[in-house]
Amino acid sequence: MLEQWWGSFEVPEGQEGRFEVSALQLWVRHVPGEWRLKSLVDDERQAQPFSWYCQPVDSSAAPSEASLLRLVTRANDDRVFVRPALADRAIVVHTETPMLLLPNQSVELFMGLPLWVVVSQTENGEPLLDLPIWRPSDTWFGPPTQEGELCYAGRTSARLNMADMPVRSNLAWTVIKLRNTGKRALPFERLRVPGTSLGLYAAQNGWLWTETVHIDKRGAAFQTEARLGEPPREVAGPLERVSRSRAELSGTPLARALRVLVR
Amino acid sequence: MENFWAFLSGLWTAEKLLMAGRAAGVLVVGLLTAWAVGALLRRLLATRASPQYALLLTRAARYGLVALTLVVMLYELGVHPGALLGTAGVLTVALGFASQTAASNIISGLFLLAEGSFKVGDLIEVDGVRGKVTSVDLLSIRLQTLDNLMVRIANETLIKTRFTNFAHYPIRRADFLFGLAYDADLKVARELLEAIAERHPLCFVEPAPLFVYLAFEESAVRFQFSVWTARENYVEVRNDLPLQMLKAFREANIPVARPLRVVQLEQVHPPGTIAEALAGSDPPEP
Repeated sequence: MLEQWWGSFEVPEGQEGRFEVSALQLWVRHVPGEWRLKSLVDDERQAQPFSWYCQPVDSSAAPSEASLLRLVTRANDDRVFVRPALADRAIVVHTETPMLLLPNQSVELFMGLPLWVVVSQTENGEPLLDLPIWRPSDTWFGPPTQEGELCYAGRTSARLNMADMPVRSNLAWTVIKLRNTGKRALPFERLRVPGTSLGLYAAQNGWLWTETVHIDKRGAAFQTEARLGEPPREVAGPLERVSRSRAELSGTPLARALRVLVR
Repeated sequence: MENFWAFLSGLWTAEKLLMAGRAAGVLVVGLLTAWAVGALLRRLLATRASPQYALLLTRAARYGLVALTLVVMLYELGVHPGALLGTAGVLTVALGFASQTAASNIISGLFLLAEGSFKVGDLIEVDGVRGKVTSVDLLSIRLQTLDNLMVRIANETLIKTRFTNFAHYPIRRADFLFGLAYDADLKVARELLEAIAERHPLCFVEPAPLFVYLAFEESAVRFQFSVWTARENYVEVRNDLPLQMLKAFREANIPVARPLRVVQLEQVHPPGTIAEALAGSDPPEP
């Protein structure tokens, strides 16, 4: 069971809100005519549960290494909105071991995608802060080093069983349904999933899920078309939409066909 | 003197004044048109083409319109282009010898464009000069060095010389060469380095970091540790990792190699020979 860490948070003037989820700590200070946001990611605190409280400004002690953002505004609203988001790049997730999918067979994989925290002054408004809870490492997806794509490397392996999935506040889960429609066995060990095209849904146990991705892979082609399906209510239970995809929010027409790379 | 005034007054006839006026009009309109077309093209191509091609197309359009303006202006003044071509034949030979280098630079420039080895905005190094390409012109390119100097390099030089383009590929490998003392635990050292790369978010997971043995040297075992990173993060990774490596080696008591010299002293002459002889002899006279 995970606690819900997104929503609106009230920080009256003269107070500072302290937001913490997993490795990410935020200090949201409300002073007259200004908001000051400080952030710090500490890899040692990944298991930290969600917490939120307000305290007077004078008693705050944000570490000096925290990054500071100052926002000047005349708005009188005491609230800030925090929402989860997926990465701003594609994510590469490995299977635990290289796999071989036989012809006309299909497999269901559960992939953990790193989460970002987006802070804004209005719901779904322009982001003031857009930070990963736990910054994943960069990786390159592409056979040669001359061309390819800069992606993030997922920190957890793709799994076959939902029971093996770790319970973490800094991950959202995606179900990938991969079907081999070719005549030969399909070897694969990593998938590149475009996180910017996926939205987020919350289950009753606090877990975050995205839409299911259906892939029909024919032959040894590197690139394959995939379809966005519905969120996996059959495994996650009732789901409530929490966040639209980055592509939607930026005004890009939502493509139901995705480009998912399988190697 | 009267002939001179007659000649001058012959120039200022109504017909000739009209001709000069038309020619001036053509020149002004032509130059304004060339300027306007250049500005319009630059705006249109700003988002549709690379800066290099936008610059070249804009200049080609401008120069083309200016050349056309001059031809039309000369035509208005009564000079036929055919006549120009006739007299140009003699000048061509003379100009050809004089402008060999310029022609070579122009042709080299076209070849460089077709090759696509670099473009405006790329960081390149030519003949020991490193800078960002700010313009690619007919005869030369201009570089803005990292300490803000302008360097002009002829296109012909670029065709003939080896140059390095640091911005051609999107990712780069940062190589770190170091030596460890012979009594260092090399396995632990390797694990430490791989852990540092794994923790650093800008070091790629794939392609994976590389650990390569290089040589058994006089005072050290030499290694190379390489990580891949996005081109724009190269400097940050290049500066971050050595500090973390040294810190990790110190904390794990892994000795980094230092130049080492071992001096061995031996007794060459057996006792009771020269030493005794020297002891019994008289000291030398001052």
